[in-house]
Amino acid sequence: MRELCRARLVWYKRDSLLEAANINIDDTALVERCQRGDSDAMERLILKYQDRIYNVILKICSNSDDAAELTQETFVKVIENIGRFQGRSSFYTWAFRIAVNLTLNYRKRNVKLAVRSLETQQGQADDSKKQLLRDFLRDDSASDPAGRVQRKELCEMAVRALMRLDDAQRTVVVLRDIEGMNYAQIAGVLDIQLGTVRSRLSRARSNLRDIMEAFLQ
Amino acid sequence: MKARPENIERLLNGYIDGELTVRQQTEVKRLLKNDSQVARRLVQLQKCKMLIGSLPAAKAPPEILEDVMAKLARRSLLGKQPAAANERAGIRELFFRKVLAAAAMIALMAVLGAVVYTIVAPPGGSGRSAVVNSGLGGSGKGTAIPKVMLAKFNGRLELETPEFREMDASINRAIEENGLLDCKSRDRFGERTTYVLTCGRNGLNRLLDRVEKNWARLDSAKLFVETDILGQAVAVDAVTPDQISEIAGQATAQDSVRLAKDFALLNSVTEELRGRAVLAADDKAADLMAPPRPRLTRPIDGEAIKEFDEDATQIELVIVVTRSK
Repeated sequence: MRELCRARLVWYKRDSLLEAANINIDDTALVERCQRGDSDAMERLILKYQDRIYNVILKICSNSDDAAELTQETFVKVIENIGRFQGRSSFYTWAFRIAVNLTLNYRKRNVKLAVRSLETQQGQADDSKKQLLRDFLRDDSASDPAGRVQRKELCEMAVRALMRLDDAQRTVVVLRDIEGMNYAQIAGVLDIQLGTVRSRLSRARSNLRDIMEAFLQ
Repeated sequence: MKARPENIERLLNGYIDGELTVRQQTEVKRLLKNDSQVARRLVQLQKCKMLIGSLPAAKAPPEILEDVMAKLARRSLLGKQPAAANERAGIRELFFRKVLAAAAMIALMAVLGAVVYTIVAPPGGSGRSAVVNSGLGGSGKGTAIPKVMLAKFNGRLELETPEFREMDASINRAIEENGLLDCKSRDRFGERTTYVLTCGRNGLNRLLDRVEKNWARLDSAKLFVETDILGQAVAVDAVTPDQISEIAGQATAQDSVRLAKDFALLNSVTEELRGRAVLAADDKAADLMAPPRPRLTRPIDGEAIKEFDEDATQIELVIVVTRSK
């Protein structure tokens, strides 16, 4: 139990750091400069967010080429429409809304392709991977669970489980657990109610657990 | 009261995400202390969250920035304007398209209208009937039709009767009663009276109506139609008041002469049929032989519609009343 608490503390610290980064770095000044046509400010905004946006898109669509293309398209749209940005939400939320919408629309258009891509990735997990996952999920007394999750095999199983969720559930999980957004930010990005975020995230984690249990069968 | 499982699930998720109020956190802690199943579920959720959160963060390809700037430059080179300008251009284009569509609709309606008009409208342009029966007295209500003068009619009517005095008195009275006193000159010599009338067609018709009832007293009624233009005379024997009226009322001198010839022929034929001479003079059945002529309200060749001024002084008729020999 103590180990779990330590691990939770690590993740809380990570969340706090991410949130602090969102608050401390002054996007407003950069956005204003962009709106005046300052290309240097545009570059700085892109450099600041490109990795995070690419990572979120990649985790949703699970294809690096598509993720790169969608990230480019996101920034092109951001720059083209920055004149319309009025600051009603934060730039961070606005930019991620563009990225997520582009990605989900792309997924809808290419749903057959996505299913095929998923099927090719769904090979049978070998016994060692299964055992690793079983130990992680069922052995509460095992030491250093935070260290265990660094294992590459477990990460592969997690990605496969994530891709088995539907797009809506996967998106909230990615935004919360990977990007580290709070519920209000997720609601802003997806343009949904806070209660919807709570219930969708709860169902998504429950399904994720079920999917991973199913891998062990 | 026991909380529903889905509510507990939400609370636990909120707990590990740090999204609960202090009161909710206290409630969760109480649940964890008292319910080992809930505590176990919390551990599972934490592991799940931890596993997903542990996925390595991918770094964007280094060329992203370059590609984005290149794409923006390319779009700019291709004339892609900023969004606000695009919006204005879009509104302008939309407006232009609407105007264009409206103009096209109007043009189409005009063409269709012209086609329908060409099909439906009678040739010659006017919707009015080209011919109006003179008996109806069509006067072209609502339309200003210029009145024109009838061709001048010159004629000489020679009446022979055994009852000279009665007939002469009848004609004289008819002239006075119909207000033609100013239009006449009279010359009486023994049992021969000559009236020279200068009047309009209406005046002549009133006179003829008045004397028609005495027409049976006549032994002979002969009309000589003379025209200034043609310089010739046509004699119509056994002429009736209606025939006189018709002949005098023609639009042109040529028409008067042509009609007079027709009546002359007609009357000569009926004269040869014994007992029909009187019929020709008196019987309304004669109308069947000489139906009223339609009056043209619009010439076929497109001339303006004309209405004759029937009160204008255009008739010069000499009436000679003599006692039969």
